[in-house]
Amino acid sequence: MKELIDALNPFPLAQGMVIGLIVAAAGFWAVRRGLQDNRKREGAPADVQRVHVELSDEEKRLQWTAYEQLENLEKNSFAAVKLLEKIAEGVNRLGDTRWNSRQ
Amino acid sequence: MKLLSYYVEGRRFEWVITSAMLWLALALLIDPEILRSSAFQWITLVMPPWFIEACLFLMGWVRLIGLLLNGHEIRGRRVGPLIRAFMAAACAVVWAQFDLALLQLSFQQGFMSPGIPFWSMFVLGELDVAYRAVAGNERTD
Repeated sequence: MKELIDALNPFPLAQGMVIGLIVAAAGFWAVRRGLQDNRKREGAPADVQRVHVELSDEEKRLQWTAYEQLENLEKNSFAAVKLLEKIAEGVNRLGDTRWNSRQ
Repeated sequence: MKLLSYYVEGRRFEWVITSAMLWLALALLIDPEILRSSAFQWITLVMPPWFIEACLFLMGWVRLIGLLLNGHEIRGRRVGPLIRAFMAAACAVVWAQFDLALLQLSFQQGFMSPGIPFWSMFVLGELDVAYRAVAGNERTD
């Protein structure tokens, strides 16, 4: 270090520039490395936690009851649609009858 | 106090250095001769006091902006950490010049200037800030 400073002693500007460039290069490297590490950290997948849920007998029974209710809802929804179609037909027929009686 | 912690926590070193920079810039504005009559007289051989003052003021001001942009985004990018990192690298260069001036003085007087350990560690501290500001630790934005 002393040799470098001694060699550059007659040129204080060069001395400052050489040391400044070395430090600037180190600073640039630090920023670049920091950005790289940041990207790595952002790209890394989040920690996955495996969870096993143990249900009690009562909870299992309630779960099955819920599934049965869902099944009933599904079946009944088709029946409800058929009923609604019949009602719509009846309303249309009534409308037709009213229109015909006015002719 | 909460607001102060929000801005200062995890970056005290930067706040301290920024305050010192702006303080020195103000002192140089009042009396530009203070560097010539101090241990840093070697710097004035290379850079005139007005140039040092301008550098300190500009860098201190930009650094302050970077510290205050706490998590703000411009075009989807957090600019605070980037400004802080680049300013830390630039400050490391300036502190290295101060360190060099003290080193010159030490060779001239034959014993080490007591300021050398401080300024050398400031350089290393700034390089550490340059890395950590953008690396994305707990408090980086």
